[in-house]
Amino acid sequence: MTKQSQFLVAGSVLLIGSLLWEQLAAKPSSASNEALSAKIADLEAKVQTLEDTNQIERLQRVYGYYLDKKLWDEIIPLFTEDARVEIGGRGVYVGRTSVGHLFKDVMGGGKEGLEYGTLHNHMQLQGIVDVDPGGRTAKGRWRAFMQVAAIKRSALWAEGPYEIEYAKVNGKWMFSKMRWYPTYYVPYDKGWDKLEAQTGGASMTTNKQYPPDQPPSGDARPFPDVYTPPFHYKNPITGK
Amino acid sequence: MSTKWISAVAMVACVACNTTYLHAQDKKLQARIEALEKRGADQNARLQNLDDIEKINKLTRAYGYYVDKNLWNEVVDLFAEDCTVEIAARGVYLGKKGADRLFRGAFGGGKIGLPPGRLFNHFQLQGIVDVDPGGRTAQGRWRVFAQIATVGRTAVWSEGIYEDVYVKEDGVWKFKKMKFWPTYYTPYDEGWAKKNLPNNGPSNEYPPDQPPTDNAGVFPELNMVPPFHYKNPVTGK
Repeated sequence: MTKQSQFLVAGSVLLIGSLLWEQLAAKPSSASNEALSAKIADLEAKVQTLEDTNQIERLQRVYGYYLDKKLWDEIIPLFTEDARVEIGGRGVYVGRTSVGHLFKDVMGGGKEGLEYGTLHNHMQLQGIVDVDPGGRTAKGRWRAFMQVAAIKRSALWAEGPYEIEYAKVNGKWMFSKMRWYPTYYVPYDKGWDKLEAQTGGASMTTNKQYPPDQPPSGDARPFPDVYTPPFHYKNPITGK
Repeated sequence: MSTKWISAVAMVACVACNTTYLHAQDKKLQARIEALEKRGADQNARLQNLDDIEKINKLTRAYGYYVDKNLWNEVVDLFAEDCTVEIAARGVYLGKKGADRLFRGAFGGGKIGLPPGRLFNHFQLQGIVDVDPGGRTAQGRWRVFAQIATVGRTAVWSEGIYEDVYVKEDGVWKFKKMKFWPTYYTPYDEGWAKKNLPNNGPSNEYPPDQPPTDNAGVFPELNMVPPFHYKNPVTGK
């Protein structure tokens, strides 16, 4: 080997060595890069769940404000194509067309908007929303507190919990299943302690003109009967 | 100097330069990663706070739905072992055993589940939840709006304020301290202007561990302002 080639070899070894050293030195960086990516993925998942929960809470409250004023044309698009809805004892309505009949025709008498002299307040309260793993579906429990009246004819307090299922369709949360269980219907001038308090009336009967797709579940009767609607969630402490 | 030597020095200089340059680049990258990690940790802490609030909201609301139906076994399970519970003028109950004596005993007469003909609605509303620094404890103020009835006998409206302390044990939020101040108990027939009922005193059958801590009077006798766990959010006072 000539001196020149000896220098070249030594030089090449140095150059390659320095590149290797760079690679080795870069190793810790790529490890922390991976750890960072994992942390960000974890953050993104947490943000997504909170955002989904917030959007579902908003949907539920939006529904309540529309219901107050009988804005059925706003309510019906909030349901999925295959939604199942059961309100009180009116029976089960399946699919958006049927659900439309339930709200607009059965509950709204075919009319859009609250008429003069009527009150239809439906406060949406105490929501517990749980997004299912995967983030495509969710479940919620809410309560409605209602003041329903027709001037000089009737005035009613009513209350009861909802158990609801939601589905995310094209990035938007919608109602896919809704059931409302009446706790009581009480005439304002009587109160809960009177036996005639159990006055579900039309809310506890099936409509003849727009019958439900399936009969009422029939398990939940209002006060003075007592019924505990099943909880979609486990006890948050015991997990049972 | 021979060409050989010049080329050798140039080569060594080149290697040294390259190494120094790469080393500096590495340090920059490392600094950026560390800054990102710090930002990630900050965001994680903020998210954790929101997540904790959401879990505490759910706990308190779940409590309400269980109370509605007198599911006292489910209610008592929501409390920490060393809890303190004081409802209205019933006195102070200590520990989970105390909570059981108060809820299942004094409220439920030893029975679980709401019997037919009874109503015991307890809406849990307007929650203000603040997680303490460190994220191990939290405090909340809530209001309950209640409709209580026995068919053919009584019907009552009631409302009041809770101040709760929560504790996170093994990653799960629980009630550590619950205190409730009633605002009113009003018979349905008569309304607030005409008739208001007094507090129930301590139970004889299921006595408290300690007497009531204050005179939690009800409308119209005493208009007590339950102490706020939080400062005014604008003035900070």
